[in-house]
Amino acid sequence: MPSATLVTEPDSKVLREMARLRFVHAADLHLDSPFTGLKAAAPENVAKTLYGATFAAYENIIDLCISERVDALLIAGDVYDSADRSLRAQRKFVDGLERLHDAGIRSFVCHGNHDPLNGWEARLSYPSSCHRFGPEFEAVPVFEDEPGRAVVHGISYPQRDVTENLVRRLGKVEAGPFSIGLLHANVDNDPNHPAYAPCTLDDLVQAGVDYWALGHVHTRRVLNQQGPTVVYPGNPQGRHPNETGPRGVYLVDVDDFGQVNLDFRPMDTVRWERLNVNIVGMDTEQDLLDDLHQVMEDAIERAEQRSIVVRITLSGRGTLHSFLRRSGAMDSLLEDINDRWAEQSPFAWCERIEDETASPFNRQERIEGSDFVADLLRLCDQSKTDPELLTQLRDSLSDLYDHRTFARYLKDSVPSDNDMAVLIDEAESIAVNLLVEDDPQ
Amino acid sequence: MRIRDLHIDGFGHFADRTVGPLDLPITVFYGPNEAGKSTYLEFIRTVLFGFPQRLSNQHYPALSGGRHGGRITIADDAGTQYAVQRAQGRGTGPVTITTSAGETLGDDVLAQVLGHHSKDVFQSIFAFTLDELQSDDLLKDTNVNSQIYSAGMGATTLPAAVRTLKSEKDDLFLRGGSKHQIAEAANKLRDIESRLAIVANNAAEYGTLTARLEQVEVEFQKLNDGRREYESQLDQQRRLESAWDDWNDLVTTEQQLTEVPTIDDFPNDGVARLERLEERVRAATREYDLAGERAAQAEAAIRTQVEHEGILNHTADIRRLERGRTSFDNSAHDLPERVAELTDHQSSLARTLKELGPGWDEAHLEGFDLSIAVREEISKYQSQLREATGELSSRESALTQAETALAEAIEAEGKAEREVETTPKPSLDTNEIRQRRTLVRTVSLKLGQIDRIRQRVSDLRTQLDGLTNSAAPIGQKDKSRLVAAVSAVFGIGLLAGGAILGGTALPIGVVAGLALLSIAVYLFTSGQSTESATATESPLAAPVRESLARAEAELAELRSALEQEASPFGLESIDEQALIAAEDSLDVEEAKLRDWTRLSEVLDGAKDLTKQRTSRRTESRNAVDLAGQQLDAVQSAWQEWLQARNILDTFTPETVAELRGQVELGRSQLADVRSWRQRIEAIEKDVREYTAIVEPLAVAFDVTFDVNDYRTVAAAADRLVELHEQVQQLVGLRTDAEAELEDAEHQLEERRTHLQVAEEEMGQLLESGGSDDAEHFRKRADLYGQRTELLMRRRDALGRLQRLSGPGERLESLQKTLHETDIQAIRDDALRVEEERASADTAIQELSTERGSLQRELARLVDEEESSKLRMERNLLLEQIQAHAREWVKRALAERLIEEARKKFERERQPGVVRHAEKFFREITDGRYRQVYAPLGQQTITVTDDAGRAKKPSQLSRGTREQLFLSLRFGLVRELGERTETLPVVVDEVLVNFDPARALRAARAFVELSETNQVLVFTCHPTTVELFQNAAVKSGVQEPEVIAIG
Repeated sequence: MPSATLVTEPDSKVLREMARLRFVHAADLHLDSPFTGLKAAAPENVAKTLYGATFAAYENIIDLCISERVDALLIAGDVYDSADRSLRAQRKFVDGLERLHDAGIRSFVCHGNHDPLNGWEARLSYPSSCHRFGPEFEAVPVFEDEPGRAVVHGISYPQRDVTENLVRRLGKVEAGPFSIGLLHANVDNDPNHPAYAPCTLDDLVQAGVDYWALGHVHTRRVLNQQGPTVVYPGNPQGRHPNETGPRGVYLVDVDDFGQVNLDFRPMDTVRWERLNVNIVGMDTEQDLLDDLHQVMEDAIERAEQRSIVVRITLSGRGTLHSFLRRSGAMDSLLEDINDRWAEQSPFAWCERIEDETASPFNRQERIEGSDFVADLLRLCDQSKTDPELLTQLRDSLSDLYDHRTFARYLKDSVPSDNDMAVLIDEAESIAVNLLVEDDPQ
Repeated sequence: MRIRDLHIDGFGHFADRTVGPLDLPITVFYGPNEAGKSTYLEFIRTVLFGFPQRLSNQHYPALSGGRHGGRITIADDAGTQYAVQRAQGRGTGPVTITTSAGETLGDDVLAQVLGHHSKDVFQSIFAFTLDELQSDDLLKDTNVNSQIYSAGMGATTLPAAVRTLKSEKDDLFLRGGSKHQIAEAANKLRDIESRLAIVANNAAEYGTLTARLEQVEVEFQKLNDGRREYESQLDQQRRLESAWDDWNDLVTTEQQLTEVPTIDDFPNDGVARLERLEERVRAATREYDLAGERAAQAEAAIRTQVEHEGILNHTADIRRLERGRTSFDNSAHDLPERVAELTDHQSSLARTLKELGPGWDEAHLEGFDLSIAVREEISKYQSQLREATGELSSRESALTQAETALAEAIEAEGKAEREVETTPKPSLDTNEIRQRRTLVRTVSLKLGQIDRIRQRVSDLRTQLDGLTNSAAPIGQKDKSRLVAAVSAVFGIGLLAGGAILGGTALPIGVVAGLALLSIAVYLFTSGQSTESATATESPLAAPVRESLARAEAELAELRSALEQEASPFGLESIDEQALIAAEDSLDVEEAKLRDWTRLSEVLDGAKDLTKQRTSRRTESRNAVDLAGQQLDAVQSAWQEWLQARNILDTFTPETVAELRGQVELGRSQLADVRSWRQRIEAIEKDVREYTAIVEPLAVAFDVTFDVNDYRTVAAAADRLVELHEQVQQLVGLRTDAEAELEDAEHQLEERRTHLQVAEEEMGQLLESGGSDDAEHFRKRADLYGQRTELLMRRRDALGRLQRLSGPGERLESLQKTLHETDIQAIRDDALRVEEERASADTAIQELSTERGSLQRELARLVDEEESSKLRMERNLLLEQIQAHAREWVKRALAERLIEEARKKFERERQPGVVRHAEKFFREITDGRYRQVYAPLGQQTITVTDDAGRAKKPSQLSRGTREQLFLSLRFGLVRELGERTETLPVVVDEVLVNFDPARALRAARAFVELSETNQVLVFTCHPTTVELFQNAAVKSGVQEPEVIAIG
């Protein structure tokens, strides 16, 4: 039997030597855009870090380009939010590009729905090595002295709402130089993102481009590995509790045969984590605290020297539920956690502890009973399927959602039918917890 | 459970009253006001559940006599009958439950038959009056409301839950409110948005500031260039000004040089050197003179002569005089005192010898034996005598105490004997008393039984009388019975008295008592037969007669049984007072017995004590004799010891010890005398030796003294010592002067040489300076100095000019320019240029400040974090609003769901009590009110009329409210009856406020209820009686029994 041959990934230096082209693919920088989804004000040290997190990630990208001696940096839209009118964002962006210019590295930028061409700009001077794509597709060579080596085809949004399939404007790219498409788009109608510049994967494949450097979807994803390579790098810094895990860019090496090697590099300086702690089996508050501290410690370890923002959800049915229901109990837990972890550097800040626990309660058994609680449980089930009752319930919410002052803040969060089912379940849980608070299991 | 009959012994104004049997489902008790209807109701409650715990004797007291209480016969649902007898007494009153067979049962049986209901439950639900019906206390009764208010239906926390939800909901959002969390977050959000709008203007401002910065840079450059030009001009002018002074200086210096004579060479620092040399010469001359004086003085000292120089040959004697001087003084001074002291000691010794006695002298003192052995012997005899004397004294004291104790014991014995003799002896012992007590109890029980049977006989007789038409006058019959009864009582009393008293009283009591009892029986039975012979009887009298005969037989049987029991002791039944008297007399006998026993014990104890103390006295006497003998023996031994030492044999050891002391003292004094003698001899010897030294020296050196006066001897010694020192000093000075002279001559020579050297050097200096004397030298030095200075000034001025101009031709050019220059014009021009430069500086400063400000502002705009912070806060507030909204939604939905569930629950799941009550209420109100329900989680009842309006009891009319409460009671009765023993429903005037129609329907409801529960109705209204009768007819059931009261 022949001995196995150990195959190793070529390291970065070797790839550099072998590569026909090396570039960094980034997107959705959202410089100076605030974190969303936070429900509590952060302490001073944390807030300062959060304000600067997107800038720090961008600096990391520039440092990466310089240290890896790439040929170019490609940014696929949403560099900043024009609506914010952040001078700082645009100034820092240009500063970074100038660093690349000083290092002899080119940069290619297309703009997306958040930073369209008709959006506000601070009239800063971009370095000559940076090319910003306009409202029509342009083909720009990466190496000015070797135009046949690699070409970037890019297009920017002329305005915010682009609902046209921009790929159709490109037409078919002829074979020859290694072609890169730089585009901010929603491929195959991802429901989690607005349907701007919608297109299909097949559209991209048929266009004849070798590498599609996409932007818009914040979760990194490789839609197609080769022929062509279609990649969303995701955003380099998570800004929402749902944007957990490492965030960064792709370091892309293309060999002489056009083979693409993708190397994901995390760029984020603050990472989100969602942690869950189940109270089943816990008898004392100290048990809960010990668990909470343990999950925090584990999260910090996973973050690899990064600061983290954590949202903890307590779940399960247990005797600790009554303790958690007491006024100030959750705040006390939060304070205990943050006293220990939020002040250090890197910090671990627990933004919120959500209580989804419930008292020990056997729903299946109780619903078979003949008392009031059983009737209530049956009514909750009925309300999810009875349109008339559902309408009555929805109508009871109009005081808030139709309020002349607050409606505008809530117009995007009016409960849908699916939401109503979930809300009814949660309402039932609240009602049952109040009615059977001292019920033994 | 059903009530069969009632028997009141004494309760309220009833006494010995029986009602029953109550066999029909409904019984109506009809009587006028104050007939006692409420009394019956309360009687039933009291007998079944007890008297009140406090002031029970005031609860319907037996105003007409009889025992406070009575009896109710009941039958449980299975038909078993019980008699419940209760009387007023401790607690709720003693109760007896007996079966029809006479078996007595425990209280638990009663509780079971009563369904384990409490008195409160019975009163609230089963047996109530009009007042109780009108009160809403029913709903507050905890025994009741737990049946009504959905207990156990899982909704006890409902009100609190609804309140909590509402509170939490309103805290999050309240329509029309402004303090809820969403409003507060929205207010903050509006504030953030306004601040963001302000910050958004930063972008426009950035462009404006950038343009202005460019302008400022251009102006700044222009001004800087102008300033440089001014600087150049000013520089040139300053050069000419500073060169002008140097130029003048140069010209002046050259002029002065021409006026000073030329001296080519002169010693450096000549004047200073001249002065130093002059100072050296002066110093050397002074020192030379001093050395000469010193030599002259030394020569003079050498030539001085010293008187009495020969004393130096006696230096050793002088030293001895010196060393012994202090000792001589002390010795000579102390000698008289010492002699006086010796005389005192000798006197003391003489006195001591005299005290010891004639014949005592120094030899005798020294010969006396003062050894330790002798001292020990004396001490031994001393302690032996002391011990023997002490022992004797102790024994005599013990004897005295023993005799005293014995006398006390004899007296106590006599006292105890007298007490026993004077105390009467009891006639009964303990066993006899116990037996008597048992007899009394037995007799008492029997008596009670006889009383009850006798009463029954009386009742039956009365009945029989009523049923017969007897010819015998009623009075005569009664009279013979009375005589018979009295005879019986007296007979029993005599029997009991004889038994109690015993002795001769016993047979007398038995005979008399039996005789009277026989007479009583005869009288009683003869009366009966007379009756039976002459009476015309009703057919109903036969069973009564039979009952009477049975009772009388039972009575006779009881009496016979008592006679048999008491016959061994001669006892029969007595009345209560006799029994109490008998008991008292037994108590007295028992007390007498106790006293007698106690006194006998005391006497025995006293006798024992007397015996003990007599024995102790005898022992003490023997001990005293023995101690006396021991003392005599010791005294004989001591006298023998004295005689052996020729000491008077009357001396005690203490006296001998004192003698020893005196001898010791004498010996000590003798030693002192001898010591002082020796010391005086030594002093005298010292004085003689010292004087021997002084005398020859004093003569040799002319010092006078008196050999017999130690003070002159001491003075002479001092003088000799002093003279020796003086001579020694003078001779020493002379020796020192010789050495001094040699040293002074050597020094003189040295100083002469120094002076010569200094004078030579000064001569050389003057010559080098071209002078013969110092003054001339100084003048030349001054001239030389002036010239030198002028040359230096000229050189400096040229040097400065050269620095301003540069080397070579430029210097000449400068000199030429200066020669031709008007310095004032230059100064004026410089001032003008200076002003222009200052203006340029000011403008530059202003532009620099503005530039710095612009740069800072631009940097601030680029670097400001305020907008980042505001955007984050805006997002945070938006999230908070949405989170609050979601929480509000959950609570609003929970509230709504609970409300819907509650309505449904109330519609479909009312408690059994309420369902029953609803049915009755609907019937009584003929459908006017359709629904009765207890709202979930609330402690109240609500009714709904036919229009669907909900009303609380307080919103109903009085009559309707009573009907509601009556219906609730019916509901409770039905509900409880399904679970426990049914109880009778006893009501008092509960329909009076009902209109006729509703009253009839209510009566029919009672009829319906009577299918399961016995109903007893108390009323004073004939209409109420008719109501129940009509209701029964309409319901197709048997009409109620109507019992008249009063």
